[in-house]
Amino acid sequence: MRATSVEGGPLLSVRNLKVHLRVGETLVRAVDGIDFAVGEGESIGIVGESGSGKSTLARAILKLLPNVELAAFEGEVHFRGIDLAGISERALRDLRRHRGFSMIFQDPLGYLNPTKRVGAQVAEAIGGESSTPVGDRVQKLLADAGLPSPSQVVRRFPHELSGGMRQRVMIAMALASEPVLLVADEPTTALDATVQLQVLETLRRLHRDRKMAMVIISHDLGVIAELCDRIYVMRAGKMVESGDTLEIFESPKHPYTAQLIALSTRRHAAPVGANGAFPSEASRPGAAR
Amino acid sequence: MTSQILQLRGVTRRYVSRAPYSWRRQIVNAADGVDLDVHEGETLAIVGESGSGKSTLAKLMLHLEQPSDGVVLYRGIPLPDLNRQQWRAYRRDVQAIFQDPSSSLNPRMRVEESLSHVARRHELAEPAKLRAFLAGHLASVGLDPPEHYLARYPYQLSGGQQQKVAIARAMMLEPRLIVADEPLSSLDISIQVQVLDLMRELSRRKRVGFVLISHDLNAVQSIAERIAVMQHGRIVEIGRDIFDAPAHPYTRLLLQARLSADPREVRARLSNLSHARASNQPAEPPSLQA
Repeated sequence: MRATSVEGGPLLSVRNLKVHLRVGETLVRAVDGIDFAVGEGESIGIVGESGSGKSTLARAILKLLPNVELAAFEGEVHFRGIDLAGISERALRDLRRHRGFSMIFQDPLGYLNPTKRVGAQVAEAIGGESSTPVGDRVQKLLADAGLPSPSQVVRRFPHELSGGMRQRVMIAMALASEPVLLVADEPTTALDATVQLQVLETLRRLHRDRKMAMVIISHDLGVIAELCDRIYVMRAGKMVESGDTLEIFESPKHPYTAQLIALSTRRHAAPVGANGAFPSEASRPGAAR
Repeated sequence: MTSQILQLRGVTRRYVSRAPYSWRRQIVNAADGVDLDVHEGETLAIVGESGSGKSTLAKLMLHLEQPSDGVVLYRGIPLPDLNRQQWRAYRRDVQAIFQDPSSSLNPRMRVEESLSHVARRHELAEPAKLRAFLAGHLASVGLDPPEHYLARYPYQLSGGQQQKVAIARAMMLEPRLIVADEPLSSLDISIQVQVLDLMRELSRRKRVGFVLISHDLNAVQSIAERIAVMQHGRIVEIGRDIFDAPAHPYTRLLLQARLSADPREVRARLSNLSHARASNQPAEPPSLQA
């Protein structure tokens, strides 16, 4: 596989990762023994339905899960050869601040400060005040993220921007540390179709121009197909299948993958013949255990 | 012969909002002179992006909002002119399903209580037979065994199950039309397919009509008999074959922005991309090429 043949090993490698969460009284095996790897400059997709554990996986890898929720964290996570399991807070901060990894989320409004102007928030991500020369970098980052007239945008509050613009502000903030890996959790799910396409195009351009590796997490096979070289299919905390994007789409090996693809395409196929019976709850393919 | 169950005539709904980047007030026509006929038993989809006014249209049809101009007619009679009896008929005939099923169910009531309220209000069943009546309706939307679901609180159900309860509650009244405002968008794909199948089945078996409001053209294509495309409060195009022969540029744009999981289209897009990479051209989204 391409990811493992890259010189000096993959950028990110995850081996037999188990993340168990404490939710109230119960223990949730959100990630239950997962292996995967991302090569330098590679773009991979993790697809799954809600509750499959894909978001937990991303947060666990980037060490974003609060310790109080974490019941168990086993396995190996290596980023550029550094073991993230035993990493110190200081080293982790360095990775986040400079040429390490960044993450963007589905809901940018939940991660932006409503009381601060956009320019100040991006400047904070760079690690300075909004005055020049940082101010110029802020505008450069916003332009890189595809925002038109960044000199206007820096003076806006998040609530004054549209959903697509807010997501681009998040992207600008993520780019501030010049990451070599960008993890995007449902980056376009909250956006209109035409805006979604534009944001995906921006992500593709950044991936290409900056040689930045990407992990795209989505429930939407269409989004994954747009951006990713390789796909991992997750279900109930496990990877059920992985492979080349085209391979997966054209000849899925696992029945669950085949079903996901069929369902996504059938939605815009012609109406199926009437077959009387209703599907029962038990026939739901992705039912989380 | 089909008759119109609902008609919108020159319906406009204005809201006052703040202009972007200033404190100035501005008037927004969320619906702007809409003429639309909803026929008995048809499945009509209304598609458009956020802010196009499709939810406002749903609220106007349900009399949750009143038009600033124009009139909504139920079986030929303007809604404000309905007498008591006609009003009751309208309230039974036209039912609603919303995007977020958890907010349309009372969190402090078991499913049984939620549904009994509706049944008692409209005297749908004798008290002794009420439970069997409710169970029958839950079973008919695929919630089986129904007793299992009657005793549950909404939080104990998945999103798809909640949406099915909402559909069952609407169907109890044997409506002629269900206005469904984004009934799919909070559901997983496999569940979306189930809900779409259920709607298709109800439309076939009970001849109930649907106004299906959605931003998702893929989902709508498999079920709608007619599709109205909305932009800035206006219906820019309406017809049976907007997918094959889109007449309006905005419809074409929406169709082009669809992402596909169809293996053939994925292959086409990928080869297009690698071609662009090889020739060192900035890759255009293939879907935007002519």
